[in-house]
Amino acid sequence: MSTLEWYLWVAAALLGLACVRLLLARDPLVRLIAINVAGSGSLLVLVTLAARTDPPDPVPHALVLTGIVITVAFTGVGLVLLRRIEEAAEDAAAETAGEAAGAPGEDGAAGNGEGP
Amino acid sequence: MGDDPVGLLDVLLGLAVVGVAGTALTARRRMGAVVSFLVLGVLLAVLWSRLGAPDVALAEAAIGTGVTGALFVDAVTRGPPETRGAPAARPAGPVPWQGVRAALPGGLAAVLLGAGLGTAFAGAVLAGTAPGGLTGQVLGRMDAAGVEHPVSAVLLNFRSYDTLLEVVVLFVAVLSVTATLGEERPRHAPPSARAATLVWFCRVLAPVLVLVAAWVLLAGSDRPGGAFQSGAVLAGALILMDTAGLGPGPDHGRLLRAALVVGPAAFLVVAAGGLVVEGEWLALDPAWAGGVIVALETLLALSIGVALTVVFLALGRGRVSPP
Repeated sequence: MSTLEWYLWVAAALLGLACVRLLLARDPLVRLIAINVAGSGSLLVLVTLAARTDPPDPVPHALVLTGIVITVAFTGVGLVLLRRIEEAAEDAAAETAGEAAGAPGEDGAAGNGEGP
Repeated sequence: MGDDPVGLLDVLLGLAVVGVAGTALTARRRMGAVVSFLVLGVLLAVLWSRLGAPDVALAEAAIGTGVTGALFVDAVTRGPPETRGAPAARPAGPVPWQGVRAALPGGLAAVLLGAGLGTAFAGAVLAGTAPGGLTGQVLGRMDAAGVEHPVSAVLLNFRSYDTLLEVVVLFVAVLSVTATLGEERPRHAPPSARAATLVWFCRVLAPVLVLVAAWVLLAGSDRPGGAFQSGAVLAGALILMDTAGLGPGPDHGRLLRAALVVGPAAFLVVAAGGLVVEGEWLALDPAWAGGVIVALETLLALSIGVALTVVFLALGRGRVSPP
């Protein structure tokens, strides 16, 4: 088995594990990790195929760089959404517990006025 | 290294990657899964450099492990307390990984899927329809690229359309994240309670990191490096400063927005400039391509760094209250 074939098998293992876990996991955070691992697997395929020539093919490398940035973008959005979902669950739990939930903020004006 | 038989280092590295990925995917606690995922990122960075992709290794270390790691750890430590130390599956009911019997179909599916994919990939390599790929075409046009590093040339000249859309995706991510922003929730302990060592350390380290970011940026024209790695280092510096209470605050909203927009806007200007001067979108005259690319990369690095930081900061903000 050549080195490249070996790494393609590693990539296949990553993809197989991560895709199945992505479908079976209940925790959204684990799903995000699974989709990240699956992404790493597909990037490994690209980098391995780029290594067939010497020097390596720069086009797949550029694609992989793009892929890494896209991955961090959707992971960030996913984590913020996850955080909001859990905050909503916490607030709902606090309300049903009979605690005073307090005034519900200033209608989000702080978010619009202050910027990020 | 194309057709060499697989060496011991490669076998160990591959097994470690698969093993750590398995741990990250099956950990019972959120924090365990996240830490294993970070270890996977470090191993992948080694693997990328082993496969002759130092640019990808840099990006993986800075973005894939650095920024993503900060995001994940922040999300877990801010999550509901019962998920930090408790098993990852919160909702009641049967969980597929709780019993060996229940895990069996999933494991079998993973093995089958992996075997199928592996056979297909290996077949693709053996078939070798175009083993040269696009290497020859890129290297043959390097004199018109404006930069000496092939990957930077592909990213910002030959296939700059991809990069433009990538920057826009990052911008859209920031927009969707800020759309959920509400009132500020207490992020950290008050300034007086912060460890003086941490504040001092961040004050010393931040200028060094900005210098590193600038070096990585300029290195991209003739060796591995570039706007995205540089932006990630910048984001790392900003995130670190935020943990010490020195990061961007509510007063910096206008500044951050300007920094966010300047990268994509400059890219659009370059794209339109190509249409005016060369008659084609995104076309660059080889005579001044180098200067344009470095200037564009500088603005892009700024925007990317701020975008990644804003996504991180948004994790600590409250949500918009329902109307």
